[in-house]
Amino acid sequence: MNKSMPEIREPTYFVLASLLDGSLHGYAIIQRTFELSGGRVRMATGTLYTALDRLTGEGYVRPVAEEIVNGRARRFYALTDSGAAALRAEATRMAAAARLVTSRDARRRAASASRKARPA
Amino acid sequence: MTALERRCRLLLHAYPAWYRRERGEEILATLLQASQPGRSWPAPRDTRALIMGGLRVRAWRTQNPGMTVSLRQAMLGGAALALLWFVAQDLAGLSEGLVLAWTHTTTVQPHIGPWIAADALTLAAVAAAWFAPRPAVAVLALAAAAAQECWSGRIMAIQPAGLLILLAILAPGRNRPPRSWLWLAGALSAANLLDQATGVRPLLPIYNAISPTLTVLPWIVLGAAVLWAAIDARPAIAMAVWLASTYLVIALLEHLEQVGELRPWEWQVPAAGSAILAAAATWRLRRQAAL
Repeated sequence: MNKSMPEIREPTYFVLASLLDGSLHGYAIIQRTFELSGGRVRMATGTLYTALDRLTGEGYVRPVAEEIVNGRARRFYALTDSGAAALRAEATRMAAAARLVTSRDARRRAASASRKARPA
Repeated sequence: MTALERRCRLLLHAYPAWYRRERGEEILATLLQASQPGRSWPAPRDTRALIMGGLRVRAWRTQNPGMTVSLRQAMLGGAALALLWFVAQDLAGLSEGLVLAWTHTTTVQPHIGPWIAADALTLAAVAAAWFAPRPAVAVLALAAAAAQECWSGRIMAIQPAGLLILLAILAPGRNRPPRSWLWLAGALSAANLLDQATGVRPLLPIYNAISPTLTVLPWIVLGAAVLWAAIDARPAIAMAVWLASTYLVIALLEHLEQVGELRPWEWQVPAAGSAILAAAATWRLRRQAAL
């Protein structure tokens, strides 16, 4: 990972991933994050806005539109280019970390299969 | 307005007023949408997240300065507190002579002038770290360090001189620590001055009543900084720097100056305390710097 890029924690990763398909408002981000993480990340509202503030400060996310629903402002957030790059970098890092284990398992399975196949 | 909305609005007061004006309605809308139907109280996890989120905004606004800048700010805060503490101790030591000179118009001892001048320069350097550009802080801090070394002529002056050099190195151009830290450090040091100033005691009729509070105040603040690390770890690191430079370094310098015998606990306790506090708070700061 790029040294200047801050470490991204799992909930933040899913917040960024939830914006891959387009801009979303706060509640939609909570729902999408829950779906994408297979129900593992259930963000509380306070946690979501802390994350959005920091992601906006970092330039990874930006508010793109605002609408009034039932007299209350609803702001939509979108992923920026640097946010998409940070997300991709984190995904690549995690994939490399996963390959470290899965490729070893695959090699072990292949070796064990070839031993079984060898005639006595 | 429903009971849930009323209670959610109340919870939003954890955030500062400027933030509520900007984001309050948006957060409230999300909170109400995310709450299960029929609820009249916000869920405990929402309550906790809102309070923590509000305190985080109050502590370090919405910026994430990153690990290096945060660590630098924390150490600068610790150095400033230790320097103000040192000046308070110095003035407390001089208070009797100063009060006598003021109330009885006796002559001030000749060495007092340079000491006070060195302390005034030290105060100016600390204030400059928050308000002046970086070169000005460096010049003032180095001048104050030289003054402390030359004018006081004591081994003990190594402590403020070292801290002033640290201040000159850490002086930020941007990303200054919050101003509230300076006020807190000033208040703590003023309490220390009152606690230690034997010359001032007769002038303060309430001294005996407030004395126990003054003595425990730094330890209360230390405890509060440890708890506050859940929100912001920088003050805990600042307190670790203060603890090490004020108790550990002073104990060692007093030993060098042969003021008293150095008992093991006099250096072991502050050394272990500040090392544990600094390590735990730095670990916490690392998590704080992650997105």
